[in-house]
Amino acid sequence: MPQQSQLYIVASRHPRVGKTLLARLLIEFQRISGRPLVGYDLDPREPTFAGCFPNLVWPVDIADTRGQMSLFDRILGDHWRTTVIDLGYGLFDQFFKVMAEIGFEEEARQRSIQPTVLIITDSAPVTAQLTPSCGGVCNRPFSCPCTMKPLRSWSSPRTFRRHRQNTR
Amino acid sequence: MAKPALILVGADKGGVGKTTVARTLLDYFTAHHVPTRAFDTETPKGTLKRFHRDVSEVVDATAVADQMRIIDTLSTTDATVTVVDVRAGLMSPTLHALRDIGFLEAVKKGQITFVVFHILGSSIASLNEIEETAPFTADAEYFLVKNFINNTNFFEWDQATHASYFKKLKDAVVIEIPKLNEMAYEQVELASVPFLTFVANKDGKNETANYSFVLRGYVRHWLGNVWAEYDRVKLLDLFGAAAETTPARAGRRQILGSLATSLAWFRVESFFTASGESDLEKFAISFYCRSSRIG
Repeated sequence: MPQQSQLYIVASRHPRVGKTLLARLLIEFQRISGRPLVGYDLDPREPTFAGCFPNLVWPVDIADTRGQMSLFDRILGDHWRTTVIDLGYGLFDQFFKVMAEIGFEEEARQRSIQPTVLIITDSAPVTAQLTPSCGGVCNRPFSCPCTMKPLRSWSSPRTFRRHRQNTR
Repeated sequence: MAKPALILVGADKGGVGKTTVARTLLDYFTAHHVPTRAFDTETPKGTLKRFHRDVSEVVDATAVADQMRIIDTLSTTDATVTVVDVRAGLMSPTLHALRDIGFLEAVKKGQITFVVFHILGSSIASLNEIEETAPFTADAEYFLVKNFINNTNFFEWDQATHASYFKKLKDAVVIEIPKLNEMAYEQVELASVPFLTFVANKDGKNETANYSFVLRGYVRHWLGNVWAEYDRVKLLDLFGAAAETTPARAGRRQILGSLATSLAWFRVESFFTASGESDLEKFAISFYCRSSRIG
């Protein structure tokens, strides 16, 4: 049986909730394991994720068919690699609509790709009602809500150092 | 034995999607194992033939010899259904010819099943064709096909105009062909294969091709929607072949449906014996997804 490769889709309907941070953490974590890796930054306005890993993460605009082809066809073609997608909040609905329409989930399964949707949770009521907007994909067993806990804000470098010493 | 059936796909106006609709029909019948042959009246080169080489031949609908090739062989051919893709401008002359040779009379007597797919464009000229065609389709199954492939809206924004055309014929049934992604459409054009073959990622020689998965996905989704329209109007029921295929399919669906329900309930029971109530919500979601997929 062929080894399964992972596809992580980091998504949220809202900006500034920590999508790119989580995507970066995933990339860093996967890099340590030494597995073949690729990432896609789907935020055409602010491709921060791609900027962090210039040779590993590619900016893609899925607003048009050409962009959709360069994303989904490449994921399926590179099915031996672990893939991390940072899904910009503005393309949330479109991404899942296209994914459902082209039958990506089924094809991915056939190519031993295991998709995992990491949905960043927040307090907005709309987040709890994601199901209809993403074609039911978010409610599938492979979706996983993630809560980003705020980092403690440090008042000064000294308090930061003290905290580090205490936590070591 | 099933009655011979003739499907005329046409319009006097050009560029409204006649061949596209004819292609979806041929794919539909192929998928439902209905023996079908097709005639492409785009003489001499042919358009439909480029996609469906095996089942179609190019004819000149204005030539008596070719009219004989289509009509006189209806009852002797192995094909249950004959599809004629009538080229632009030939719809009215073809209907006149069918009346003159007594074909429409045979339809009236119930000897032949006659189906007309009238493809409509968004222009008034195209809609005016409905009135011109009506006298010839009284005994036919008449489908008005709104082809949204070029994003038209058929004057739906003006209810009076829309109603004046579409509500006039009480027996006419409207079929809507949704829009297909432009790139996907062009890629199938380039490939010159039936939509079904494209979806299956095969080339004209039935060898594995390298079409984009995204484009194939768009075509599959679109074709599914078109076929849903054909199912809605019970197209297969119009032909004798449908009497064999449809109940068999219905029977299979019923068996699969009850099997799926049993399996789902077996999962419910297994779940409750294996886990506690705290996982109920998680299970409810996965059960819903699985059962809707089965359905």
